[in-house]
Amino acid sequence: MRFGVFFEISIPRPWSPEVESKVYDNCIEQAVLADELGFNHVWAVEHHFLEEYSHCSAPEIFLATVAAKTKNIRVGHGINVCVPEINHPIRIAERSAVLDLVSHGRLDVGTGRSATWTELGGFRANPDTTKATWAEIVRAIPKMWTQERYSHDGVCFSMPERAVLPKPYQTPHPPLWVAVTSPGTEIDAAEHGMGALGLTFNDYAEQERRVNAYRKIIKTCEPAGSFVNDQVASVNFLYCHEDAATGAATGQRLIGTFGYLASQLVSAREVYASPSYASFGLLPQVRRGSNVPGDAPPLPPGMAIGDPKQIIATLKAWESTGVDCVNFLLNAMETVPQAEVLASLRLFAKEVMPAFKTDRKHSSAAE
Amino acid sequence: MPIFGSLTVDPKSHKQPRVKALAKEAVAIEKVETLTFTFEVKAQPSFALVPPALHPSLPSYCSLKVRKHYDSPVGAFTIAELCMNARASSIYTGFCLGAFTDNAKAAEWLRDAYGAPVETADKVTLVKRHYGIEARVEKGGEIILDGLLSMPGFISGSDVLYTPNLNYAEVDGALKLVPEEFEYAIKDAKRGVATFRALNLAAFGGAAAFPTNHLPATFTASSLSYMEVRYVLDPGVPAFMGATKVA
Repeated sequence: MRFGVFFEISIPRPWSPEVESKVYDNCIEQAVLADELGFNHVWAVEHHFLEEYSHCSAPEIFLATVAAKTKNIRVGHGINVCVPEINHPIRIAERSAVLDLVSHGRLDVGTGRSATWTELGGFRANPDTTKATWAEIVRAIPKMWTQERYSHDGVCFSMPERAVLPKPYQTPHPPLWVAVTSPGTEIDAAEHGMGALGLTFNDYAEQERRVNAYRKIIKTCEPAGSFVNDQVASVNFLYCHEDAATGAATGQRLIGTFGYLASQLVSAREVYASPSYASFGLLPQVRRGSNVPGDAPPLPPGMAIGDPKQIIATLKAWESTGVDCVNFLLNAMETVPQAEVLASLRLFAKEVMPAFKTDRKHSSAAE
Repeated sequence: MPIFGSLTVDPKSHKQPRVKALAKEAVAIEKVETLTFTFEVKAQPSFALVPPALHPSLPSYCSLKVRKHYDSPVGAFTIAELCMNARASSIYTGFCLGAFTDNAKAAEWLRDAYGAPVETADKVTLVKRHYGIEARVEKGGEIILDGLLSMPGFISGSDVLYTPNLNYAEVDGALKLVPEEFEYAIKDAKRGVATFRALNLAAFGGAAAFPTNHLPATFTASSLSYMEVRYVLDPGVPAFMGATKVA
């Protein structure tokens, strides 16, 4: 079991250069501390136009800064949006290779396709085609890294033969992951031989079912890259405190703030009816939700909040579902003061991490 | 904190529809067809269309829904309604700016039970043609809406999502937001290109909605239930603070 930290870089209004800069500084400080404490990964999302929720539109720059200030922690681009209107695949390959070089082989490359109309519409991307473009791009990028010169004549992009430079530090290339939000995407990850980077909150039984399906299918996969990255990561929140009640209260505030912001996002499904984003299930039937504005939404199950003993028990339960790593969101809109975030990380490393076997090297490129 | 709407809430105003008795029971309608036009609008001016209880969606967008009811307790009717999409706390909603129907009894029912801002028009139609699906609203000799979904292609009903409406109305002498919630089961769904020969948003109460980006239109055939009212909101305070459950 390994642990990572996961950054959305959520910035509260009113925005100013000082506020934006301070939140970035806080995140970098958290990442540097996570490295010192033995965390395995720092992941940063790629989002565009998502007001307050995420101002992390250039994660490669954030991660390059983190890499320059750290020694061991792996840096994860979680994820590159594999939609040509947003990122040309050649640029994904180039940026990733540079980040792998400057981090001396510590890069993990996440891939995905975006789930919001805010982002897809902002770049005038067609939601109908994002699964297809993702599937084409994730098979092209490893070849750009591993072939001296590469040409491509596909559906979503084409290029004459060119040397895509530089080549990455890791041999044959950095590990590839897929963002898993919609049910069934873990199957896509397995079929492509890529790690499943969980970004939604499931219950234990659902997580175990997904991990089992992933492990079964990946045995017979046709890998997109040069090797199979057989790993399942889940996402969680972290707030660890000596006092269980304080830990729970602060953790619930963090989760509630994040959930409130997330509920404001305009999903692709909300405005653009497309089979590509039918994530609410297969039945074309909608029953009214039971919530009334002001009702406290139920907490997702298995959150890593509370005192160390509670968090150990929670994470042991996640471990039993078969996940290899858990990535933690540490803050949202700065609702938790920076000193408390850092104290939570330190306490977690001191009291919780020793209860788990961790292996930092496991997730590096094909060994 | 996400942006709040800035519509002026004037407690002395008596311009809003007056609810006689909030809907206490669901009304199920067997056969309903719905044509929905969705378009983004300029953000800043549209914030003033939404009350302070709500967070305007970003990007700001409107839904113009035309629903043809083949039968109902007040007879067959067609209604065209314009909503600014928003969030009531974390719940998806469409704040209804205005609506027209071709059936005076339907207008009365929706005003009395849900506070819906519905006027009666001379003509409100939804017609399936070989070349597409047309919606039209006419009042006082003016064409308020003439819209077309062209080049329809089949999609799954599960691809389509309808949000509940919120109506700004007077309930027991006080201004409230009244949810008009729906349950539905879609049997047939199509998607196509949206075009307008006429679109008078001001007539729908959307004078400050300036379209910037038209999205594909959808058409569905479904059953539809108008649900009982479960709560009302104070329009002047954030929805998470201003909800009152209705027994």
